[in-house]
Amino acid sequence: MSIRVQTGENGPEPSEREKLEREISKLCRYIGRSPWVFHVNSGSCNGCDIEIIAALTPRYDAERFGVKLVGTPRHADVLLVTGPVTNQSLERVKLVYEQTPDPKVVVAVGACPTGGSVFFESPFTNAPLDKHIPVDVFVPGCPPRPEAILYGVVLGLQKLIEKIEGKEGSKE
Amino acid sequence: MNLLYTTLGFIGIYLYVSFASLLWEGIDRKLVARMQRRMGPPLLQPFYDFLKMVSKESIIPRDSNKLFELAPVFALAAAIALLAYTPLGFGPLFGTRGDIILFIYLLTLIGFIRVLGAASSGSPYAQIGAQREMIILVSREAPMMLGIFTIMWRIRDLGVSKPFSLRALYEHNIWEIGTPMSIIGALILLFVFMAWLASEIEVGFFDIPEAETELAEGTMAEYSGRHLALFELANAIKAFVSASLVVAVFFPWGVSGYLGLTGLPAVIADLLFHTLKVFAVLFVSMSIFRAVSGRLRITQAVNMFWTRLLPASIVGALLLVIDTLGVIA
Repeated sequence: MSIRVQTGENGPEPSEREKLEREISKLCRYIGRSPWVFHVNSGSCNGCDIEIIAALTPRYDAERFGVKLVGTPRHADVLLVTGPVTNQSLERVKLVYEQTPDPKVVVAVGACPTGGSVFFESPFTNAPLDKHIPVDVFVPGCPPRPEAILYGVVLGLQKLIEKIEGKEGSKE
Repeated sequence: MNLLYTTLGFIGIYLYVSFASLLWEGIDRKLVARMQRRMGPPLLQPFYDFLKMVSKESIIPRDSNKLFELAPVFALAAAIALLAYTPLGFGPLFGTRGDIILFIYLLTLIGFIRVLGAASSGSPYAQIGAQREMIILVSREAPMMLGIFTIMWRIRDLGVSKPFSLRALYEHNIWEIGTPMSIIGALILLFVFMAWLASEIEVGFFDIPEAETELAEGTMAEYSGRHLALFELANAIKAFVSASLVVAVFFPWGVSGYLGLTGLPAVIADLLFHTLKVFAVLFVSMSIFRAVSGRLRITQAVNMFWTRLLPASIVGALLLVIDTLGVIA
Protein backbone atom coordinates (compact mmCIF):
# COMPACT_ATOMS: atom_id res chain seq x y z
CA MET A 1 0.00 0.00 0.00
CA SER A 2 2.64 2.47 1.09
CA ILE A 3 4.82 1.57 -1.88
CA ARG A 4 2.03 2.36 -4.28
CA VAL A 5 1.38 5.76 -2.67
CA GLN A 6 5.05 6.64 -2.93
CA THR A 7 5.39 5.72 -6.56
CA GLY A 8 2.15 7.53 -7.30
CA GLU A 9 3.34 10.76 -5.66
CA ASN A 10 6.99 11.43 -6.32
CA GLY A 11 8.25 8.79 -8.76
CA PRO A 12 7.66 9.61 -12.43
CA GLU A 13 5.17 6.67 -12.47
CA PRO A 14 5.62 2.87 -12.30
CA SER A 15 6.12 3.11 -16.09
CA GLU A 16 3.73 1.50 -18.51
CA ARG A 17 6.15 -1.31 -19.21
CA GLU A 18 6.63 -2.26 -15.54
CA LYS A 19 2.87 -2.36 -15.05
CA LEU A 20 2.47 -4.55 -18.10
CA GLU A 21 5.26 -6.85 -16.99
CA ARG A 22 3.63 -7.36 -13.61
CA GLU A 23 0.26 -8.01 -15.21
CA ILE A 24 1.77 -10.61 -17.49
CA SER A 25 3.83 -12.40 -14.87
CA LYS A 26 0.81 -12.66 -12.61
CA LEU A 27 -0.83 -14.83 -15.24
CA CYS A 28 1.54 -17.64 -14.75
CA ARG A 29 1.93 -19.43 -11.43
CA TYR A 30 3.23 -22.75 -12.69
CA ILE A 31 6.18 -21.46 -14.70
CA GLY A 32 8.54 -22.25 -11.81
CA ARG A 33 7.45 -25.87 -11.96
CA SER A 34 8.01 -26.36 -15.67
CA PRO A 35 10.48 -23.88 -17.12
CA TRP A 36 10.99 -24.82 -20.76
CA VAL A 37 14.31 -23.60 -22.09
CA PHE A 38 15.17 -22.37 -25.55
CA HIS A 39 18.80 -21.95 -26.43
CA VAL A 40 19.74 -18.94 -28.61
CA ASN A 41 23.21 -19.03 -30.11
CA SER A 42 24.28 -15.54 -31.15
CA GLY A 43 27.67 -16.40 -32.59
CA SER A 44 29.00 -18.33 -29.62
CA CYS A 45 32.18 -20.43 -29.75
CA ASN A 46 30.15 -23.47 -28.59
CA GLY A 47 31.82 -23.57 -25.17
CA CYS A 48 28.81 -22.31 -23.23
CA ASP A 49 26.50 -24.40 -25.42
CA ILE A 50 28.29 -27.57 -24.34
CA GLU A 51 27.97 -26.51 -20.71
CA ILE A 52 24.21 -25.99 -21.20
CA ILE A 53 23.92 -29.52 -22.55
CA ALA A 54 26.05 -30.70 -19.61
CA ALA A 55 23.41 -29.30 -17.25
CA LEU A 56 20.84 -31.64 -18.84
CA THR A 57 22.97 -34.80 -18.65
CA PRO A 58 22.46 -37.43 -15.91
CA ARG A 59 25.07 -35.86 -13.63
CA TYR A 60 23.16 -32.61 -13.11
CA ASP A 61 19.77 -33.72 -14.51
CA ALA A 62 17.93 -30.43 -14.84
CA GLU A 63 14.81 -32.37 -15.93
CA ARG A 64 14.05 -33.21 -12.31
CA PHE A 65 12.94 -29.59 -11.90
CA GLY A 66 10.78 -29.85 -15.01
CA VAL A 67 13.32 -28.17 -17.28
CA LYS A 68 12.95 -29.24 -20.89
CA LEU A 69 15.01 -28.09 -23.86
CA VAL A 70 12.52 -27.15 -26.57
CA GLY A 71 13.14 -26.58 -30.26
CA THR A 72 11.09 -23.44 -30.88
CA PRO A 73 10.87 -20.10 -29.07
CA ARG A 74 7.05 -20.39 -29.13
CA HIS A 75 7.19 -23.10 -26.46
CA ALA A 76 9.88 -21.45 -24.35
CA ASP A 77 9.72 -19.78 -20.93
CA VAL A 78 13.44 -19.22 -20.46
CA LEU A 79 15.79 -17.96 -23.16
CA LEU A 80 19.44 -18.89 -22.68
CA VAL A 81 21.48 -16.54 -24.88
CA THR A 82 25.13 -17.39 -25.57
CA GLY A 83 27.67 -15.58 -27.74
CA PRO A 84 28.74 -11.97 -28.27
CA VAL A 85 25.68 -11.00 -30.42
CA THR A 86 27.39 -10.64 -33.78
CA ASN A 87 26.05 -8.20 -36.34
CA GLN A 88 24.45 -11.02 -38.32
CA SER A 89 22.68 -12.49 -35.32
CA LEU A 90 21.46 -9.22 -33.75
CA GLU A 91 18.20 -9.09 -35.71
CA ARG A 92 17.59 -12.80 -35.08
CA VAL A 93 18.10 -12.46 -31.33
CA LYS A 94 15.57 -9.63 -31.21
CA LEU A 95 13.17 -11.65 -33.35
CA VAL A 96 13.47 -14.72 -31.13
CA TYR A 97 12.84 -12.54 -28.08
CA GLU A 98 9.67 -11.17 -29.68
CA GLN A 99 8.51 -14.64 -30.72
CA THR A 100 8.62 -15.95 -27.16
CA PRO A 101 5.25 -15.73 -25.40
CA ASP A 102 5.06 -13.79 -22.12
CA PRO A 103 5.93 -14.22 -19.28
CA LYS A 104 9.54 -15.02 -20.09
CA VAL A 105 12.98 -14.92 -18.47
CA VAL A 106 16.15 -14.06 -20.37
CA VAL A 107 19.44 -15.45 -19.07
CA ALA A 108 22.71 -14.32 -20.68
CA VAL A 109 25.10 -17.25 -20.38
CA GLY A 110 28.86 -16.69 -20.47
CA ALA A 111 31.28 -13.81 -20.63
CA CYS A 112 30.43 -12.85 -24.23
CA PRO A 113 26.82 -11.60 -23.83
CA THR A 114 27.77 -10.14 -20.42
CA GLY A 115 30.55 -7.84 -21.52
CA GLY A 116 31.98 -8.94 -24.83
CA SER A 117 34.82 -11.05 -23.44
CA VAL A 118 37.67 -11.20 -25.99
CA PHE A 119 35.44 -9.40 -28.51
CA PHE A 120 35.26 -6.32 -26.28
CA GLU A 121 34.84 -3.20 -28.45
CA SER A 122 34.92 -5.23 -31.62
CA PRO A 123 33.04 -3.49 -34.46
CA PHE A 124 31.37 -6.75 -35.45
CA THR A 125 29.79 -7.70 -32.13
CA ASN A 126 27.11 -5.95 -30.08
CA ALA A 127 27.73 -7.05 -26.49
CA PRO A 128 26.46 -6.51 -23.84
CA LEU A 129 23.16 -8.15 -24.61
CA ASP A 130 21.03 -5.85 -22.46
CA LYS A 131 21.59 -2.99 -24.91
CA HIS A 132 19.18 -4.83 -27.21
CA ILE A 133 16.76 -6.99 -25.21
CA PRO A 134 15.85 -6.93 -21.48
CA VAL A 135 18.06 -9.40 -19.61
CA ASP A 136 17.10 -10.78 -16.19
CA VAL A 137 20.24 -12.63 -15.17
CA PHE A 138 23.86 -12.54 -16.33
CA VAL A 139 25.91 -15.70 -15.76
CA PRO A 140 29.59 -14.76 -16.18
CA GLY A 141 32.33 -17.29 -16.90
CA CYS A 142 34.18 -18.54 -19.95
CA PRO A 143 32.46 -20.95 -19.99
CA PRO A 144 30.36 -20.92 -16.78
CA ARG A 145 30.00 -24.22 -14.92
CA PRO A 146 26.68 -26.09 -15.33
CA GLU A 147 25.88 -25.37 -11.67
CA ALA A 148 26.21 -21.67 -12.41
CA ILE A 149 23.82 -21.93 -15.37
CA LEU A 150 21.25 -23.79 -13.25
CA TYR A 151 21.66 -21.20 -10.50
CA GLY A 152 21.15 -18.44 -13.07
CA VAL A 153 17.87 -20.00 -14.24
CA VAL A 154 16.72 -20.33 -10.62
CA LEU A 155 17.56 -16.65 -9.97
CA GLY A 156 15.63 -15.63 -13.08
CA LEU A 157 12.57 -17.60 -11.98
CA GLN A 158 12.82 -16.14 -8.46
CA LYS A 159 12.80 -12.68 -9.99
CA LEU A 160 9.64 -13.58 -11.90
CA ILE A 161 7.97 -14.91 -8.76
CA GLU A 162 8.90 -11.76 -6.84
CA LYS A 163 7.16 -9.78 -9.56
CA ILE A 164 4.04 -11.90 -9.10
CA GLU A 165 4.03 -11.53 -5.32
CA GLY A 166 4.97 -7.84 -5.43
CA LYS A 167 1.82 -7.24 -7.43
CA GLU A 168 -0.27 -9.07 -4.83
CA GLY A 169 1.40 -7.10 -2.00
CA SER A 170 0.52 -3.75 -3.52
CA LYS A 171 -3.08 -4.83 -4.01
CA GLU A 172 -3.74 -5.46 -0.31
CA MET B 1 -33.25 -41.66 -18.57
CA ASN B 2 -30.97 -44.16 -20.24
CA LEU B 3 -29.55 -41.42 -22.42
CA LEU B 4 -28.89 -39.30 -19.34
CA TYR B 5 -26.87 -42.07 -17.66
CA THR B 6 -24.91 -42.66 -20.86
CA THR B 7 -24.07 -38.98 -21.12
CA LEU B 8 -22.99 -38.82 -17.47
CA GLY B 9 -20.86 -41.92 -18.00
CA PHE B 10 -19.31 -40.34 -21.08
CA ILE B 11 -18.35 -37.20 -19.15
CA GLY B 12 -16.91 -39.38 -16.39
CA ILE B 13 -14.88 -41.37 -18.90
CA TYR B 14 -13.59 -38.17 -20.48
CA LEU B 15 -12.39 -36.82 -17.13
CA TYR B 16 -10.88 -40.17 -16.14
CA VAL B 17 -9.04 -40.68 -19.43
CA SER B 18 -7.68 -37.10 -19.44
CA PHE B 19 -6.30 -37.72 -15.96
CA ALA B 20 -4.95 -41.19 -16.70
CA SER B 21 -3.33 -40.20 -20.00
CA LEU B 22 -1.58 -37.15 -18.50
CA LEU B 23 -0.49 -39.31 -15.54
CA TRP B 24 0.94 -41.85 -17.98
CA GLU B 25 3.07 -39.11 -19.57
CA GLY B 26 4.53 -38.36 -16.16
CA ILE B 27 5.19 -42.06 -15.49
CA ASP B 28 6.76 -42.38 -18.93
CA ARG B 29 9.14 -39.46 -18.39
CA LYS B 30 10.10 -40.83 -14.98
CA LEU B 31 10.71 -44.34 -16.35
CA VAL B 32 12.81 -43.12 -19.26
CA ALA B 33 14.81 -40.96 -16.86
CA ARG B 34 15.44 -43.96 -14.60
CA MET B 35 16.59 -45.99 -17.62
CA GLN B 36 19.11 -43.24 -18.34
CA ARG B 37 20.22 -43.21 -14.67
CA ARG B 38 18.59 -39.85 -13.98
CA MET B 39 16.16 -38.78 -11.28
CA GLY B 40 13.54 -37.60 -13.71
CA PRO B 41 10.73 -35.06 -13.27
CA PRO B 42 7.99 -35.52 -10.66
CA LEU B 43 5.07 -37.76 -11.62
CA LEU B 44 2.70 -34.81 -11.89
CA GLN B 45 4.98 -32.90 -14.30
CA PRO B 46 2.55 -33.06 -17.29
CA PHE B 47 -0.15 -31.44 -15.13
CA TYR B 48 2.21 -28.59 -14.22
CA ASP B 49 3.15 -28.25 -17.89
CA PHE B 50 -0.51 -28.20 -18.88
CA LEU B 51 -1.44 -25.56 -16.27
CA LYS B 52 1.55 -23.45 -17.25
CA MET B 53 0.72 -23.59 -20.95
CA VAL B 54 -2.92 -22.69 -20.31
CA SER B 55 -1.89 -19.57 -18.40
CA LYS B 56 0.76 -18.38 -20.84
CA GLU B 57 0.32 -15.91 -23.68
CA SER B 58 -0.86 -17.48 -26.93
CA ILE B 59 0.72 -15.91 -29.99
CA ILE B 60 -1.15 -16.00 -33.31
CA PRO B 61 1.28 -15.54 -36.22
CA ARG B 62 0.50 -12.78 -38.69
CA ASP B 63 0.61 -15.15 -41.67
CA SER B 64 -1.76 -17.70 -40.18
CA ASN B 65 -5.41 -18.10 -41.11
CA LYS B 66 -8.52 -18.89 -39.10
CA LEU B 67 -7.90 -22.64 -39.05
CA PHE B 68 -4.78 -22.09 -36.98
CA GLU B 69 -6.88 -21.09 -33.99
CA LEU B 70 -9.64 -23.62 -34.64
CA ALA B 71 -7.42 -26.68 -35.15
CA PRO B 72 -6.60 -27.31 -31.45
CA VAL B 73 -10.30 -27.15 -30.56
CA PHE B 74 -11.18 -29.54 -33.38
CA ALA B 75 -8.39 -31.90 -32.33
CA LEU B 76 -9.64 -32.07 -28.77
CA ALA B 77 -13.24 -32.43 -29.99
CA ALA B 78 -12.21 -35.35 -32.20
CA ALA B 79 -10.37 -36.92 -29.27
CA ILE B 80 -13.45 -36.62 -27.06
CA ALA B 81 -15.69 -38.04 -29.78
CA LEU B 82 -13.22 -40.88 -30.13
CA LEU B 83 -13.71 -41.77 -26.46
CA ALA B 84 -17.33 -42.68 -27.16
CA TYR B 85 -16.09 -45.46 -29.48
CA THR B 86 -13.10 -46.63 -27.44
CA PRO B 87 -13.09 -50.04 -25.77
CA LEU B 88 -12.07 -49.37 -22.16
CA GLY B 89 -12.28 -52.77 -20.52
CA PHE B 90 -15.94 -52.87 -21.61
CA GLY B 91 -17.59 -52.30 -24.97
CA PRO B 92 -17.68 -48.70 -26.22
CA LEU B 93 -20.50 -46.50 -24.90
CA PHE B 94 -22.08 -45.66 -28.26
CA GLY B 95 -20.77 -48.76 -29.99
CA THR B 96 -22.73 -50.42 -32.74
CA ARG B 97 -22.25 -52.65 -35.78
CA GLY B 98 -19.17 -51.63 -37.78
CA ASP B 99 -17.97 -48.98 -35.32
CA ILE B 100 -14.37 -50.08 -35.90
CA ILE B 101 -14.38 -48.06 -39.14
CA LEU B 102 -15.58 -44.95 -37.32
CA PHE B 103 -12.92 -45.54 -34.68
CA ILE B 104 -10.10 -45.71 -37.22
CA TYR B 105 -11.32 -42.62 -39.05
CA LEU B 106 -11.63 -40.55 -35.87
CA LEU B 107 -8.13 -41.63 -34.86
CA THR B 108 -6.79 -40.56 -38.25
CA LEU B 109 -8.77 -37.33 -38.06
CA ILE B 110 -6.73 -36.11 -35.06
CA GLY B 111 -3.53 -36.47 -37.07
CA PHE B 112 -5.18 -34.83 -40.07
CA ILE B 113 -6.28 -31.84 -37.96
CA ARG B 114 -2.72 -31.43 -36.71
CA VAL B 115 -1.63 -31.30 -40.34
CA LEU B 116 -4.32 -28.68 -41.11
CA GLY B 117 -3.30 -26.52 -38.16
CA ALA B 118 0.38 -26.75 -39.02
CA ALA B 119 -0.21 -26.01 -42.71
CA SER B 120 -2.22 -22.89 -41.88
CA SER B 121 0.37 -21.48 -39.49
CA GLY B 122 2.46 -20.04 -42.31
CA SER B 123 5.72 -21.33 -40.88
CA PRO B 124 8.02 -23.32 -43.21
CA TYR B 125 9.11 -25.59 -40.34
CA ALA B 126 5.51 -26.43 -39.53
CA GLN B 127 4.80 -27.12 -43.19
CA ILE B 128 7.70 -29.57 -43.51
CA GLY B 129 6.40 -31.23 -40.34
CA ALA B 130 2.90 -31.35 -41.84
CA GLN B 131 4.19 -33.00 -45.03
CA ARG B 132 6.04 -35.63 -43.00
CA GLU B 133 3.03 -36.28 -40.79
CA MET B 134 0.82 -36.72 -43.86
CA ILE B 135 3.24 -39.19 -45.47
CA ILE B 136 3.62 -41.29 -42.33
CA LEU B 137 -0.15 -41.11 -41.71
CA VAL B 138 -0.80 -42.74 -45.09
CA SER B 139 1.91 -45.36 -44.59
CA ARG B 140 1.02 -46.56 -41.13
CA GLU B 141 -2.69 -47.17 -41.77
CA ALA B 142 -2.32 -50.00 -44.31
CA PRO B 143 -0.66 -52.71 -42.13
CA MET B 144 -2.85 -51.86 -39.13
CA MET B 145 -6.12 -51.89 -41.06
CA LEU B 146 -5.31 -55.17 -42.78
CA GLY B 147 -4.53 -56.72 -39.40
CA ILE B 148 -7.59 -55.46 -37.60
CA PHE B 149 -10.06 -56.36 -40.35
CA THR B 150 -8.62 -59.87 -40.59
CA ILE B 151 -9.03 -60.34 -36.86
CA MET B 152 -12.57 -58.95 -36.94
CA TRP B 153 -13.47 -61.21 -39.85
CA ARG B 154 -11.97 -64.24 -38.14
CA ILE B 155 -13.78 -63.80 -34.83
CA ARG B 156 -17.05 -63.19 -36.65
CA ASP B 157 -16.98 -66.91 -37.46
CA LEU B 158 -16.86 -67.72 -33.75
CA GLY B 159 -20.35 -66.27 -33.44
CA VAL B 160 -20.52 -62.71 -32.13
CA SER B 161 -23.69 -60.65 -31.70
CA LYS B 162 -22.59 -57.64 -33.77
CA PRO B 163 -19.89 -58.40 -36.36
CA PHE B 164 -17.15 -55.81 -36.98
CA SER B 165 -17.92 -53.96 -33.76
CA LEU B 166 -15.42 -53.25 -31.00
CA ARG B 167 -17.72 -54.91 -28.47
CA ALA B 168 -17.21 -58.22 -30.30
CA LEU B 169 -13.59 -58.19 -29.13
CA TYR B 170 -14.82 -58.79 -25.60
CA GLU B 171 -17.01 -61.73 -26.62
CA HIS B 172 -14.36 -63.73 -28.42
CA ASN B 173 -10.67 -63.09 -28.85
CA ILE B 174 -8.10 -64.17 -31.37
CA TRP B 175 -6.29 -66.59 -29.05
CA GLU B 176 -9.43 -68.71 -28.63
CA ILE B 177 -9.04 -70.27 -32.08
CA GLY B 178 -6.08 -72.11 -30.61
CA THR B 179 -4.50 -73.66 -33.71
CA PRO B 180 -0.68 -73.21 -33.93
CA MET B 181 -1.05 -71.31 -37.22
CA SER B 182 -3.46 -68.79 -35.76
CA ILE B 183 -1.30 -68.24 -32.68
CA ILE B 184 1.81 -67.55 -34.79
CA GLY B 185 -0.29 -65.26 -37.02
CA ALA B 186 -1.63 -63.41 -33.99
CA LEU B 187 1.89 -62.95 -32.60
CA ILE B 188 3.07 -61.48 -35.91
CA LEU B 189 0.08 -59.13 -35.94
CA LEU B 190 0.84 -58.15 -32.32
CA PHE B 191 4.31 -57.06 -33.45
CA VAL B 192 2.81 -55.06 -36.33
CA PHE B 193 0.36 -53.39 -33.94
CA MET B 194 3.12 -52.44 -31.51
CA ALA B 195 5.06 -50.78 -34.35
CA TRP B 196 1.87 -49.03 -35.47
CA LEU B 197 1.29 -47.81 -31.92
CA ALA B 198 4.81 -46.38 -31.71
CA SER B 199 4.28 -44.50 -34.98
CA GLU B 200 0.82 -43.32 -33.90
CA ILE B 201 2.25 -41.62 -30.81
CA GLU B 202 5.42 -40.63 -32.67
CA VAL B 203 8.20 -41.91 -30.44
CA GLY B 204 11.57 -43.52 -31.08
CA PHE B 205 12.02 -44.32 -34.78
CA PHE B 206 8.91 -42.38 -35.69
CA ASP B 207 9.55 -39.07 -33.93
CA ILE B 208 9.78 -37.64 -37.45
CA PRO B 209 7.06 -34.95 -37.82
CA GLU B 210 7.94 -33.37 -34.46
CA ALA B 211 11.71 -33.61 -34.73
CA GLU B 212 12.79 -31.07 -32.10
CA THR B 213 16.37 -30.70 -33.20
CA GLU B 214 15.96 -30.48 -36.96
CA LEU B 215 12.45 -29.09 -37.49
CA ALA B 216 11.93 -26.88 -34.42
CA GLU B 217 9.08 -29.09 -33.14
CA GLY B 218 7.66 -29.55 -36.66
CA THR B 219 3.87 -29.46 -36.69
CA MET B 220 3.74 -27.74 -33.29
CA ALA B 221 6.33 -25.09 -34.24
CA GLU B 222 4.03 -22.06 -34.15
CA TYR B 223 1.68 -23.09 -31.36
CA SER B 224 2.05 -21.53 -27.93
CA GLY B 225 0.04 -21.04 -24.77
CA ARG B 226 -3.43 -22.51 -24.50
CA HIS B 227 -3.58 -23.68 -28.13
CA LEU B 228 -0.52 -25.83 -27.47
CA ALA B 229 -2.07 -27.07 -24.23
CA LEU B 230 -5.19 -28.28 -26.08
CA PHE B 231 -3.03 -30.11 -28.61
CA GLU B 232 -0.95 -31.72 -25.87
CA LEU B 233 -4.10 -32.95 -24.14
CA ALA B 234 -5.52 -34.28 -27.42
CA ASN B 235 -2.23 -36.09 -28.10
CA ALA B 236 -2.16 -37.63 -24.63
CA ILE B 237 -5.74 -38.90 -25.06
CA LYS B 238 -4.83 -40.21 -28.51
CA ALA B 239 -1.91 -42.20 -27.09
CA PHE B 240 -4.19 -43.74 -24.46
CA VAL B 241 -6.88 -44.56 -27.02
CA SER B 242 -4.46 -46.10 -29.54
CA ALA B 243 -3.02 -48.32 -26.82
CA SER B 244 -6.59 -49.20 -25.78
CA LEU B 245 -7.20 -50.61 -29.26
CA VAL B 246 -4.11 -52.87 -28.99
CA VAL B 247 -5.20 -54.00 -25.52
CA ALA B 248 -8.76 -54.72 -26.66
CA VAL B 249 -7.64 -56.71 -29.68
CA PHE B 250 -4.91 -58.79 -28.04
CA PHE B 251 -5.47 -58.70 -24.26
CA PRO B 252 -9.22 -58.23 -23.73
CA TRP B 253 -9.54 -60.20 -20.47
CA GLY B 254 -11.22 -58.44 -17.55
CA VAL B 255 -11.04 -59.05 -13.81
CA SER B 256 -14.67 -58.53 -12.80
CA GLY B 257 -15.60 -62.13 -13.64
CA TYR B 258 -12.90 -63.52 -11.35
CA LEU B 259 -13.78 -61.13 -8.53
CA GLY B 260 -17.48 -61.89 -8.86
CA LEU B 261 -18.51 -58.25 -9.26
CA THR B 262 -21.59 -57.00 -11.10
CA GLY B 263 -23.04 -53.65 -12.11
CA LEU B 264 -21.08 -50.46 -11.52
CA PRO B 265 -18.25 -51.99 -9.39
CA ALA B 266 -17.56 -54.44 -12.22
CA VAL B 267 -17.28 -51.59 -14.73
CA ILE B 268 -14.90 -49.66 -12.47
CA ALA B 269 -12.74 -52.75 -11.76
CA ASP B 270 -12.51 -53.50 -15.48
CA LEU B 271 -11.66 -49.88 -16.27
CA LEU B 272 -8.83 -49.83 -13.71
CA PHE B 273 -7.48 -53.16 -14.92
CA HIS B 274 -7.72 -51.92 -18.51
CA THR B 275 -5.73 -48.82 -17.54
CA LEU B 276 -3.01 -51.07 -16.07
CA LYS B 277 -2.86 -53.07 -19.30
CA VAL B 278 -2.70 -49.87 -21.36
CA PHE B 279 0.22 -48.67 -19.24
CA ALA B 280 1.98 -52.01 -19.75
CA VAL B 281 1.52 -51.85 -23.54
CA LEU B 282 2.67 -48.22 -23.63
CA PHE B 283 5.67 -49.12 -21.46
CA VAL B 284 6.92 -51.53 -24.13
CA SER B 285 5.91 -49.54 -27.18
CA MET B 286 6.69 -46.04 -25.90
CA SER B 287 9.08 -45.89 -22.93
CA ILE B 288 11.51 -48.69 -23.82
CA PHE B 289 11.32 -47.91 -27.53
CA ARG B 290 11.96 -44.21 -26.87
CA ALA B 291 14.87 -44.92 -24.53
CA VAL B 292 16.75 -47.32 -26.81
CA SER B 293 16.21 -45.95 -30.32
CA GLY B 294 16.85 -42.82 -32.33
CA ARG B 295 14.92 -41.16 -35.11
CA LEU B 296 14.76 -42.54 -38.66
CA ARG B 297 14.73 -40.45 -41.80
CA ILE B 298 11.27 -40.12 -43.35
CA THR B 299 12.25 -42.26 -46.36
CA GLN B 300 13.53 -45.01 -44.08
CA ALA B 301 10.35 -44.95 -42.02
CA VAL B 302 8.06 -45.10 -45.05
CA ASN B 303 10.22 -47.86 -46.50
CA MET B 304 9.92 -49.79 -43.25
CA PHE B 305 6.13 -49.58 -43.33
CA TRP B 306 5.67 -50.64 -46.94
CA THR B 307 8.46 -53.23 -47.30
CA ARG B 308 8.62 -54.74 -43.77
CA LEU B 309 5.44 -54.19 -41.79
CA LEU B 310 2.90 -54.54 -44.61
CA PRO B 311 4.34 -57.93 -45.73
CA ALA B 312 4.47 -58.99 -42.07
CA SER B 313 0.82 -58.02 -41.74
CA ILE B 314 -0.09 -59.96 -44.92
CA VAL B 315 1.72 -63.07 -43.64
CA GLY B 316 0.01 -62.77 -40.25
CA ALA B 317 -3.39 -62.33 -41.89
CA LEU B 318 -2.83 -65.34 -44.18
CA LEU B 319 -1.80 -67.53 -41.23
CA LEU B 320 -4.96 -66.49 -39.41
CA VAL B 321 -7.34 -67.29 -42.25
CA ILE B 322 -5.53 -70.32 -43.66
CA ASP B 323 -7.56 -72.91 -41.74
CA THR B 324 -10.87 -71.35 -42.80
CA LEU B 325 -9.78 -71.18 -46.42
CA GLY B 326 -9.33 -74.97 -46.40
CA VAL B 327 -5.95 -74.94 -48.11
CA ILE B 328 -4.58 -77.41 -45.60
CA ALA B 329 -6.65 -79.90 -43.68
